[in-house]
Amino acid sequence: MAVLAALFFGFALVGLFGFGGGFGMIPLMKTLALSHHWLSIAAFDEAIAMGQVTPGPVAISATFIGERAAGVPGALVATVAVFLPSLVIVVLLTHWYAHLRRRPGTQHVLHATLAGIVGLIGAVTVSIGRGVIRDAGELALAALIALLVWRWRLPYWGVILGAGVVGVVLLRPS
Amino acid sequence: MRGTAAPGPAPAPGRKPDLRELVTVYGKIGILGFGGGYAVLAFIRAEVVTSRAWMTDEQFDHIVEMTAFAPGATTINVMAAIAYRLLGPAGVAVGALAVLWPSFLVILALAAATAVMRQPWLVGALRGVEVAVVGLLATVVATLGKDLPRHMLLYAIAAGAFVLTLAGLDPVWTVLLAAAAGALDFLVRRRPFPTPGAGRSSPGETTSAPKP
Repeated sequence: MAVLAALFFGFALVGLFGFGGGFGMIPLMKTLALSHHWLSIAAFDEAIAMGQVTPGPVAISATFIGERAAGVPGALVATVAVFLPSLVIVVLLTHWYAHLRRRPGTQHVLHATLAGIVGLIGAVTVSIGRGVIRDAGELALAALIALLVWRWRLPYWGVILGAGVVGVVLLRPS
Repeated sequence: MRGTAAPGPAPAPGRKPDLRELVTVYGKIGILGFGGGYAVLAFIRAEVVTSRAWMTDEQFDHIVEMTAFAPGATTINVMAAIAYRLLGPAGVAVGALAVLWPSFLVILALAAATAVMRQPWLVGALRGVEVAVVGLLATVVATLGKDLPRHMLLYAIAAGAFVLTLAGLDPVWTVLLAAAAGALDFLVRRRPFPTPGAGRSSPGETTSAPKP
């Protein structure tokens, strides 16, 4: 029961503060999962990868973390908690957005928040990268992927599929 | 952001679906909407605007713009806002369930199948995707950063958040601090940031390029 409560409040905070799209949640999920020892660092990286290979948003990694922490009930609680805040906020925004947009400070605070998120995701890129990338070849693969998405707008599903195939061929443990 | 124009005459926008139609469409997006992000936004637009005319392109753009103010996954937020506009709170609840259950079940199956998870080919595939995630995270940093106004305070906030996070501060505090810094700056200076693309952008940079 205590684990379920921790999952609920922990992932509700992730859902509440993860601005900047689904990837904005990854730093929060990492701190949450590791501080409660629900997952090892390697298993967390794997959970994020699994969030990528399934359809649906990255935040679905919460399901996997919840399952590891407390089985199927944990998965349910974590999933509901991570999506609930944003759903409520979207409903509230629908009513208040026109009003909110006219307030000059709103955009200002949003930009400052997003600047913070840029730093956050930058830091998590470094910390996940340090754990995941083991040699120059893998670093080159990550850089190539970044380039393909950034310069040539390769869609994410193509990236994930391609990276999975490259992984099967080249990164398979013997 | 704008997808391809609707081919031929589309039905008059504004037709409201019933819950069953919403479940069908959202379930389809939940099963086929791999990868998230702009690719899935284009998919949602194709379903909701182009082929079903539940709303206009302008309404869809407005919703995407609005969800920048919400935390969480953009695709789910956009779908929730659409469902709410069409069918109210029941639409949000049913729509979220319809889009999330396929991923939820796949993740649970993967989590349960530990023996399968240790298959060398699957470990290799996941390793490949983990490496891809590092690359994707880097592009998210670049994309989000590009859309921000060019301003010293924002650079300072981003740099501060980077250092604090690596030093181990809980990201919740980092987000709160960043928002508080923005609020304080606005109260003191009473002037907005320059709009992205205008003002002090470095030469040669195309900040005004439309989003994908």
